[in-house]
Amino acid sequence: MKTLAIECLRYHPETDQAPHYQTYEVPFTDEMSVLQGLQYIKDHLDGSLTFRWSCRMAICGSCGGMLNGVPRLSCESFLRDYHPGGLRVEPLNHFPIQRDLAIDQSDFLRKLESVKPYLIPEAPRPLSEGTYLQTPQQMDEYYQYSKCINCLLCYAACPQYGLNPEFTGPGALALLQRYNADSRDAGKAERMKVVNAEDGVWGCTLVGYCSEVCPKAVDPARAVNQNKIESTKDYFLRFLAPRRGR
Amino acid sequence: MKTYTRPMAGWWHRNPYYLWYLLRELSCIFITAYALVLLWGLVRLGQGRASYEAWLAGLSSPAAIVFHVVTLLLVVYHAWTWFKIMPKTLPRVPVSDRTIVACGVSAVIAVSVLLVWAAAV
Amino acid sequence: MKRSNKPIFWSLFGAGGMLAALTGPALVFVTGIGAPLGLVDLSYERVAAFAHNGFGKLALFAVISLFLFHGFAAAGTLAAAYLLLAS
Repeated sequence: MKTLAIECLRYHPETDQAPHYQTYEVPFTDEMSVLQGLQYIKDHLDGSLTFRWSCRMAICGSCGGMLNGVPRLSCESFLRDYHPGGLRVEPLNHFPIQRDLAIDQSDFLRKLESVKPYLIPEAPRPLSEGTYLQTPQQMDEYYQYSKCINCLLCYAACPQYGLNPEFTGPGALALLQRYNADSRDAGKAERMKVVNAEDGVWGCTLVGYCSEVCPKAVDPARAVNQNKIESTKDYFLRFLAPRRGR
Repeated sequence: MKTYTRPMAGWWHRNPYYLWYLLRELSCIFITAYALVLLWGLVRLGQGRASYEAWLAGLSSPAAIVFHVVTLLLVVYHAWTWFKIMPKTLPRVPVSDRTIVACGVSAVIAVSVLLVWAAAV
Repeated sequence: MKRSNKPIFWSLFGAGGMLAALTGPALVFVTGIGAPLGLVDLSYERVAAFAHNGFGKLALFAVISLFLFHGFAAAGTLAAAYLLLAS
């Protein structure tokens, strides 16, 4: 049976001052994912290896990691593609390492909260009024941004986030756009503060790698840069139109 | 919670994508340098015929030619990446990304032909 | 969060980039290859006439200033990134 050398970053805060690497020889078949490779290590070779995973089908966003320096979901990456060259698995870039391949996501969760990722309607809608109606064209306006699974590959790809962790970042801004573009939402003005800030959309220099690595084709680069136009309009036109409901 | 933060030093050479990005940014620096060359020409133009013709002759020097060839390559790369990325900066338009890129590239070719023809002998 | 003043610089950067993308290749070719090879006429009379013409003045000003702006904005980003790393 073929084997692949998988080199994993190891870091146990209770014993380690800094991360180090450990290599495992993993027997594999052609249909095995990298996640299955990690699970083999944990089940048969080294039970102390720590990593996050859940759905095994690229929808939960848990299993992201750096595979040979590229941000990828381990459940939809295959061991056969790394044979015989070898595979190095590291935790997602630009996040503090919690333990082995698990990162501390709390910064992203704060950023996500800051963009108010929920519908803010014009006025509360009573049940008696029934459901919202939305045409396919209206859904089309925000649909791609709604596919985000919060996997953080875009943050691992974004060098500006790596250099400046205050940057709101691609994922949170894509979700901001998802709500702004939803016809049921009226919260754009409230979210402009995040957009207009130095660390809002203006932290982005359109490297574009975020959209390259997104497993759901959300295209966060587009979401961020369309909001540069919104921010510019807001900046120059703010003295003209009166603000409603600010 | 004790966590470990990895250093960012050397980030740009760890992934080919970042190298292409840096090349794109570098092209902008050469665009500035070229603007300074033009500005210098304008200054010499203002100083009269002899000054200007010295500047013009300087364009044929080896240094000027090397600079221009490098700048030309970078400026073409800049134009290409500019239009490739432009669809992401536009508001929603009923035109596909590919069409936008194709229009941009066509515009560069058209404008270039026009400018070179206008300057030609 | 304080509102950023980036929109001003971004607009100038964008204008410079568009102009550089459209006219850059041709201009660099003209001064860098066309002139040394004698393919183009950049004689004093012709260029001075262009620079004295209203449209010519505007074109030269736009190209030089917006090209400078485009480059400085990018250089500024790179410098800031480098400084962030060096500190």
